Amino acid sequence: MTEMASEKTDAVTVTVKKPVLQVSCLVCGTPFATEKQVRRVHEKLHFSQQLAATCPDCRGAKFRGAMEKVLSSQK
Amino acid sequence: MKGMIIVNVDVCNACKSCEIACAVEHSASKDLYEAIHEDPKPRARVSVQQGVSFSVPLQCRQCANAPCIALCPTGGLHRADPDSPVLLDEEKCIGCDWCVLACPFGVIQLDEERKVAFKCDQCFERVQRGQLPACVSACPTGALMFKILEEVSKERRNAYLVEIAECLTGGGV
Repeated sequence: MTEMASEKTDAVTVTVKKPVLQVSCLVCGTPFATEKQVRRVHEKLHFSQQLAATCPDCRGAKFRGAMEKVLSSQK
Repeated sequence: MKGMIIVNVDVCNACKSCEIACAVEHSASKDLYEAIHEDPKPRARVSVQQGVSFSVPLQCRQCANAPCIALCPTGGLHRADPDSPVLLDEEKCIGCDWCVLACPFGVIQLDEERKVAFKCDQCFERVQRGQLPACVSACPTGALMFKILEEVSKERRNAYLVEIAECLTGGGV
């Protein structure tokens, strides 16, 4: 654990850096959030386990893919 | 009246004018040449995504029951009124990343430099002044359109009626 303190006028800011384990994205494998965060997104927002464990970049790609599917089926 | 940014993917040529216009609109100077030299660099809230057969500018979908608002711990993400887009109060944002994780479309991003989230606000202030969102104004092909929800439904209904009329009259109305 590292601690850094900087003093600005009357305020003191302390930054604590602590390494945490991150969950890897189910699609690309990039670590993107802690297990607790993924669980909270799943439980509070009722997202599927799969969506909750997908990183924001892959969610965007998934959305684009879904759009592509719909549009190609309309043509 | 709820406004929506609509994309006609058939005419988008991925020129990224929307990205530039968005970044300039959200810069401090609101001028392209000055914005380039700004620090921190202004960021675009829209990103042009390249699909297999088309390109599409993606930005916040302004969900009715926005999950980003539900998870925001400080109330930084909010709506000015029920029909307004989801707005971000940068003063309240603590850069906790919850909104980024909550967005099902992956369109909210975190500015690592400033430690605040950024997302499309449909150029709320411009629209209040009676102007179009910056990305829509800048789109050279008209692929991006800003429409009222009721207007979109009406257009779809009319198009469907024309289709039915064509079927009934055997092609020519």
